[in-house]
Amino acid sequence: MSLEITVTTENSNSKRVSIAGSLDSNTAQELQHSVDAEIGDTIATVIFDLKELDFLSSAGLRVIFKTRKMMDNNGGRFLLVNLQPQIKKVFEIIKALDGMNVFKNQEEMDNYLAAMQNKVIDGE
Amino acid sequence: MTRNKPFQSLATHLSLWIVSLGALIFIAILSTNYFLSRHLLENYVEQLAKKTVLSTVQRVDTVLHSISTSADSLAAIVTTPDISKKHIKQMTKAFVENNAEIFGMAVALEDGAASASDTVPSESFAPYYYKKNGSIAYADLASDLYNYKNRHWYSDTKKASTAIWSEPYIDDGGSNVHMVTYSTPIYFEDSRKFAGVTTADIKLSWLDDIIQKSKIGKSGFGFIVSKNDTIIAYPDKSLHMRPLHKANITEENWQKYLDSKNTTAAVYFYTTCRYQGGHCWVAIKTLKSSGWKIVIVLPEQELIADINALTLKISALAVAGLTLLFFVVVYITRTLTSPLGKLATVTRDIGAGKLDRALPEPVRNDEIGLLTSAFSTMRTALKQYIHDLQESTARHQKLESEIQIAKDIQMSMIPGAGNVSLRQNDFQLFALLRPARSVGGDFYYYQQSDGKLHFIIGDVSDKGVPAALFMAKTITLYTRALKEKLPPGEIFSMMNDILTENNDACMFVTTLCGVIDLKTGKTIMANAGHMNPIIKGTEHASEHTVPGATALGLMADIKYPDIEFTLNHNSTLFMYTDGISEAHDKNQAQYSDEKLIALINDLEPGNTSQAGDSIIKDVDTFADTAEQFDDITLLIIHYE
Repeated sequence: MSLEITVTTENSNSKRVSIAGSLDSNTAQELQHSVDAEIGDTIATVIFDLKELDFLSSAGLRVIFKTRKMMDNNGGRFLLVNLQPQIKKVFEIIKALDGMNVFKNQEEMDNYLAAMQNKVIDGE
Repeated sequence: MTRNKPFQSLATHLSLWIVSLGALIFIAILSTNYFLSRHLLENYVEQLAKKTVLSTVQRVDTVLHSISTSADSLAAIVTTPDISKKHIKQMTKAFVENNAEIFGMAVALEDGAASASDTVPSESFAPYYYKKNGSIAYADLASDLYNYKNRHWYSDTKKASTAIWSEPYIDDGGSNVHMVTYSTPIYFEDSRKFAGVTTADIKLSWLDDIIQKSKIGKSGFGFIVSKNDTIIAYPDKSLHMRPLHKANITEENWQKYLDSKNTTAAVYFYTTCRYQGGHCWVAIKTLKSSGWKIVIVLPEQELIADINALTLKISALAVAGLTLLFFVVVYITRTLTSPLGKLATVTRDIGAGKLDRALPEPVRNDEIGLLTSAFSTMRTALKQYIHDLQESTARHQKLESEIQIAKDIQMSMIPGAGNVSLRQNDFQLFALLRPARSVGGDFYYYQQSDGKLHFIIGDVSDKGVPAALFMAKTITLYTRALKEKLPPGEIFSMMNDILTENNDACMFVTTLCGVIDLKTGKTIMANAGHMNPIIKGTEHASEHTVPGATALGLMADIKYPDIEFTLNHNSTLFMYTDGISEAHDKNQAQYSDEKLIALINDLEPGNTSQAGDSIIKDVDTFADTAEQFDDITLLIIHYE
């Protein structure tokens, strides 16, 4: 199974990475390259859209964690959205969902982002 | 290259084609030439036969005319009144003397004919003059012995009352030579009564001379036949005076000859000639004066033999030419293709690995030259490629051996080097680790001390060398923690803090560890993001939930709870990594936890070794030909 990665720019400092197919030890490196190439220091928000992701192995998880760590270190945000049940299960087994911004769907994520926006405006 | 086909050089091939074609063209030209020549020859022979017969007829006619004229003139003289015997003799002698073609002449008179003149005696009178040894001889035919009045030349002429040519005969009375005689009757001027004959002889040999002149080539010839088919003149003198049919001619030709008698015109025909072999052109013409026939025979054979000889010579020349052509073509082609042969030899050597073999210098700047330079380029590229390949292979081999060493080191870090089947009084333990690659990130460990069995199973994210390095660190931390006699939860907290530190690669480990009190079965376990164990006791096999926290290496400062439970006697604890539960078949389907639980439930209890083998076998059967997806680790502990 192959992997398909589509990176779209949401706005000036936000990028959505749509991942489709199988993210395993054979394809994880592709995602790592895309992340390295597309996501620079100026990006404040990275959204991994896993709507089309069918399989996720530990090698793929490592790239996701690494991206999250990079965003944390830059003071940015890392969001996961649209996890299919079997993908969600993988996260649950290793108990890695704690402290991660995971959203069931786009609407939930939009609400979260709007709330975060308001916090900034309110000066918190 | 086509197999099973004998090698045939280009030179031979080309030469055979060219020479075959040349031979074909030559044969076509030669046979056309041969048949055209034959046709022309046949026409020519026909014309020649016609011409020859006419000219021979003319020649013979001239001679015969001259003879008959002489005899007729003498006859006229004999009837002149008052001519004396002496005068008649003188005149006769003079005619013989002055006509080269006349052999002899006679005047023969009837008895009493002399009464016409005083000077002519009343008895027989028959003077005969003929040529003998270059002079003129005289014979008196009036002797009783000769009895000229009974001779054919006399009696036949008297009877016919006209001039006649005799059949050929041997004159036994006068000259004893083969001859033909012309006889003309003499009549008294007043009474028109028969008075005698005058004759003129011609030697057959004289006619032979004429016939000899009609000879054409070596085998063409002519002959003369009398009215009664007796041979008068013939190249072979032994046939003189023989009947024609004895001259050995075919029935068919005899018939044609007889047919020619019915016409005075010349007759031509093409026939087979028996004793000459092959075909002849025959021309026959009858002489008006004597009724003789002139026959000209022209055998084709001789002339065709010339054509054949010529054809043979040309053929020999052509064979020589074609042979020369063959060798010239072979030579030229060899010259052109010999670089190819050399190139083939060198290429074979290059193919056998002798890359330093020198390529032949291109002789000409042609296609072969281009090929040679292309080969040269290929060889250089090949050399470079092989050199690179050798280097890369050497590097690869070095890496392989390093990885082999790494594998040995890794396996030495875990008890039993990845394959344990242990049977103690109070427990059994089976452990198996099979990396997907030479080295991997899975691990297990156990240690028995103070009546307790400590164990751990884990899976480092990803596989291969990076996972192996992280696994080494993990297992080292675990063995250190065991020395400090920490409970499972604290072991994980400690390990997690150290593994998280500077973990920029975000490697992580999912792992289960625990400790069993072998006396009581009291068990404490901790879970760091790993799959729950499966327990099979008297009940149905089921997943035993061990609540825990995040996999090691992702986040610092995490507390892992100690989960306590009692393992009943005759219960078995199954722990595994996702290399088993997520094993793929060739259609990318997964083995799954459910299938594993079902299998475990059906296993014969109390034999961990057998159980382990069954599970591994089942997973392998499921994966079939599909490549092992991930490291496989299985840890089974049976509490007796």
